[in-house]
Amino acid sequence: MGKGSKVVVCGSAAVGKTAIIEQLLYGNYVVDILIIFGRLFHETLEDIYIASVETDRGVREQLRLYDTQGLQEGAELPKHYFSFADGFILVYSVDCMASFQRVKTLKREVDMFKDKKETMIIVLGNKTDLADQRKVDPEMTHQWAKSERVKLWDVSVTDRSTLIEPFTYLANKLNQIQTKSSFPLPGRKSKGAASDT
Amino acid sequence: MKVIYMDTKVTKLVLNMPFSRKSGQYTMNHGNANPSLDKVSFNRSGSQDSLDDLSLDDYWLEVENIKKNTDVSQEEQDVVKEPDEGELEEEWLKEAGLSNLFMESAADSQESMVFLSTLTRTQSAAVQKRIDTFSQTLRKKNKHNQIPDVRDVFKPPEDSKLKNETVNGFQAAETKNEDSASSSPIDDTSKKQILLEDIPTPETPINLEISFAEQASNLKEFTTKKNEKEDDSLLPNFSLQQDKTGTTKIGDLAPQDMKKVISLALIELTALFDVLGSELKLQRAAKIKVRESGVFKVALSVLLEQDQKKFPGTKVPMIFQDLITHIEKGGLDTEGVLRIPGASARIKVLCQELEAKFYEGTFNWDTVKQNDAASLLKYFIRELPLPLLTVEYMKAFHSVQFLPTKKHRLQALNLLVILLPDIHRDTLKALLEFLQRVVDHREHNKMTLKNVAMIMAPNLFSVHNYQLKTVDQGAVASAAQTASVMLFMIKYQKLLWTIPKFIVGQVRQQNIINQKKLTKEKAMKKLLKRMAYDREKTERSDNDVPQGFIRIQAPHFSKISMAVQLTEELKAGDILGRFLNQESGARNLKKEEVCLYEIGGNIGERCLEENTYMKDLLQLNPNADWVIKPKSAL
Repeated sequence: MGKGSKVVVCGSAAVGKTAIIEQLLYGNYVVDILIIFGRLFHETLEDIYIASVETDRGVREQLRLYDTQGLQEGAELPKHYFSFADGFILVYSVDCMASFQRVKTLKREVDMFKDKKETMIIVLGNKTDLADQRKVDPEMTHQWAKSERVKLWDVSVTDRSTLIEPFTYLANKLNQIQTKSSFPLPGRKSKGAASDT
Repeated sequence: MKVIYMDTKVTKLVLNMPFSRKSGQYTMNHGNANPSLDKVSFNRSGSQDSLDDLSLDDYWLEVENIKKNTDVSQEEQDVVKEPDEGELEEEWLKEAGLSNLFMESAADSQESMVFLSTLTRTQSAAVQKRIDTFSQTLRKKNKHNQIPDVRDVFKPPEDSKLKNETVNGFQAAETKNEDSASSSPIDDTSKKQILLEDIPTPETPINLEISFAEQASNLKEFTTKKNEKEDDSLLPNFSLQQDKTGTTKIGDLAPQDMKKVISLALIELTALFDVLGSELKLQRAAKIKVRESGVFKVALSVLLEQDQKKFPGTKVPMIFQDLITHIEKGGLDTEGVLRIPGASARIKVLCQELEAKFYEGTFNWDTVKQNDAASLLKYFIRELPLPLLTVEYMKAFHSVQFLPTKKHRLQALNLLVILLPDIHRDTLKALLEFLQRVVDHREHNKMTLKNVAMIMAPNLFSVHNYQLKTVDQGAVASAAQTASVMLFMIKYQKLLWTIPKFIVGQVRQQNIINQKKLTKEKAMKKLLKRMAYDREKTERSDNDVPQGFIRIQAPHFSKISMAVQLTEELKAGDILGRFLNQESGARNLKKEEVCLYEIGGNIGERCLEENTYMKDLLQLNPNADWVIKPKSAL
């Protein structure tokens, strides 16, 4: 099985990085009370999760998810993440333009500092359930994603099914690179994406 | 009144006794003993303390019952071996983990040096004494054999004392106290050490005992006393001082450290007895033949082996657990539970049935009467080929009662419990917990703490009727003593299963010194390792958390790592709670099933109590890893 690919989940503070991972792994979406108090007590510093994701080939692949500390204004993602990561999940919140801008700069940084030749990047626009507070135009984001040649999904942690496709895609891609599989990627929806083992 | 009542009991006893001459003598002595007993009961400060005002009826009645139910025809095996001169010392040194001090191949003397350097002054005095005796006898035995002079190996540990003082940081604060109440609670940290350090100058032993924390709990004790006046009024409520780095329970430590703890406990116990001027009698178990299968009269270890085949992870023999469960099923409110014996004829039949059916799982518990089960339980304990308190330490348990104060007794018992083999300790714990539950129902079952102690004492303290046969003038005193020890064990069982902090501290010290010795080797190894696992290493150092954070690992879970900010207030329980908050959604994890462990650094492994303050502990063991894992997976 190997050691699994290392995926860094990053983005501005309070965009829902931890929530995405926990919804994916445990299937529970709990509005964390502590978030209401300005994320003071429950702020992620750096948590690491192991997720095993079923790929298209029917093999379960392990992803090591590095849940990073939310980036405050002006703060930078610590450089060491760039050196070991196989993939990045850049997260922004659709109700916050600044968080999308952050994703843009993060994308540039990854391209600049990454150590490994093949580094996968996917982008997630979280909190689509808050449609009425939407500040980030989906047209614009998809445009950007196309120009940067990264995959982008609009997701919501309240709906687990939206999360499965991006992670399956990522697992596929990461392992495809290693195995140099010649199969084209259909990008079909896979059933089970997460498990608790 | 009491005396008269007692005498009738004695006559009954006399009738049961086969040798009339002895019993006559016994009655006489007993008559003599009684007035003095009564006198003592008014004089609370006497060593007989709380038990004296209670008649020993229960005790003798129980002895009588035991006799009735004992198969006289059984062949006796002497479980106690009379030791040769010096043999005890040799055994002692072996047990204390110092065998390489006298072994020919003293290549490992380095290790002993490390061990010795962590001892306190009194501890090393105790070791020195044994070594001297041993080497003397050895010299006598074979003069030609060259023995490395132990005094060369053994350095006077001047510096170790200093070290130890730093370990026991509270010293200054505690010596200031002048309160001389005899009923003082203990804290497990440094009290014992201070006492030991200072007792050789006999002027000021008492006022060293009390710290501020104790005064506080003395007050508390006063309030709780009222409720318990019924039977336990004379027993102080010893309480452990809250320790910021967490109390360590037996079983919290990794086996390799537990071994060190046991060695230290033996030395400490010996030192305690030495200092207090009491003799600590340890005995050697003679090799005896034991049944290899069955239910009764089988060694605990054999029983457990049988059980573990069926139920892996069992710690207390199933038959023992089942008996307790059955007694409890009958309801602990039954008046005289444990006291009222079952019918001996029925018990004999039940014994045979259990032998035949228990391990086939076909034994029908429904028909067993509660008091029969109680009798069976007692029978089981009595008939263990190796007694529950072990041959080695039985006498020591007994002699605990000769220590001057309750606190010393408690401390000695604490150390003795640590010294018991795991199986015996676990079984004893199960028993004591059960007895406590019986006592908890005393309103209904009329079984007070003293009653229960009285009844269980002869069962635990009889080495195959060894004591029962030699009923003589010592018997009355012995009855009171063993009952009192029994009472202590029931009453203070929670305290007895903790490992004193100073011992854990000494283990940490030993580990640190050992590590220092190995640093050179280690540096080399590290280099090689780094070359081999280059990638892994870099990954690790990359992940190093900035100052003020600790990284919690949880390899058994999907969230395998968590960085936590350290605050003054952060406790082990908080971390666990936070971890479970997320993890428990997926699996039904309960708080009791997992624990935060301190691993590595200067300790092998230690399961952290919820109230452990992480920051304080980090100072004690800065290089530890913090791991959350299920409790059973060691």
